[in-house]
Amino acid sequence: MNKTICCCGFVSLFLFLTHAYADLDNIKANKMSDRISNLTNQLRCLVCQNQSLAESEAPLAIDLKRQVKNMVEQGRTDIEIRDYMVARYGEFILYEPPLNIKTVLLWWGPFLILIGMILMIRNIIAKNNSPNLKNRFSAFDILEAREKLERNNEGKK
Amino acid sequence: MNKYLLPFIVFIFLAAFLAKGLYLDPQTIPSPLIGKKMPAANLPLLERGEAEFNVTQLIGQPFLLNVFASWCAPCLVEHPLLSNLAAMKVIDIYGLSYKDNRSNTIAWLEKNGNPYVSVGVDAEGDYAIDLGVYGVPETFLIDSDGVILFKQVGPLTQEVIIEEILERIEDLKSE
Repeated sequence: MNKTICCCGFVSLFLFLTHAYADLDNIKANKMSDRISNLTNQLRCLVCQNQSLAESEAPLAIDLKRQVKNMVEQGRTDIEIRDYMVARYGEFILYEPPLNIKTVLLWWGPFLILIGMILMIRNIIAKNNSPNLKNRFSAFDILEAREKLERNNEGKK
Repeated sequence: MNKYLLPFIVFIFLAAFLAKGLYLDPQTIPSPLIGKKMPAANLPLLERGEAEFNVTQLIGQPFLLNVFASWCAPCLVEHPLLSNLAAMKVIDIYGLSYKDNRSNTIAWLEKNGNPYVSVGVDAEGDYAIDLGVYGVPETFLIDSDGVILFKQVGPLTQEVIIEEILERIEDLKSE
């Protein structure tokens, strides 16, 4: 009796473990396919340049997808795989251009223009709002007044 | 006058910038492999000889590596130019049969002429990935140290052969 229970226990434990192991395998496989689709979505197809590798069915895209899959299965990291592609096809293969000396204007240029515009507009508004002498009297008027006064001064001497 | 000068300068600058952009070809991607060593590979030889197509063994004198396939229409366009260049005996031309059926490649070369010293077979296109190939035909100019000097994506033209390839071969010879 005891033996049977023991046996049953072992068998169920064994079944549970294999099941759990299979689950673990499944989770691993899911994680891998997530990584593969994530990577292939970030990489550009070089033949049809406005599609990602994931979307493209071009022969080269299929080869590169296979390469990504192999490398993921070999346990390479995402960074290694991206570097591998960049070393062969250049930064163009990345959909999101990296921030470096060559691309800094691309990344920050629009913000610089925005800041410049804001400053310009602020200046213009400030100019228009201030009860500035320059706005009420022209430079010419002021010059004329100055000359008149100076002439008067000389006359007094 | 001064008031309009700055916008005018900005306009000229922007117009020049955009005009330059109009004449750039978005299809050609600058290769990161230029100035780098040729990646190594040991590929099967097209003629099934006992010797293999070992890329590192090609290094020693400048050569051209032409990536082609029998299914590739632009390859047929550039083929007479390659044959011409081979006949001039200024540089060795090697072929890389890209994702092609071996017998098709052999038949294609028999029909159209074979300008290659030898042809390696890259049936899966793996070595082509190492070379950053994305549009056949592609042609690489490699110097005697195995460094890639120039890469042509798409069919060669007479101008490219004269201005890019022959020019560089002359430079190499005069060094």
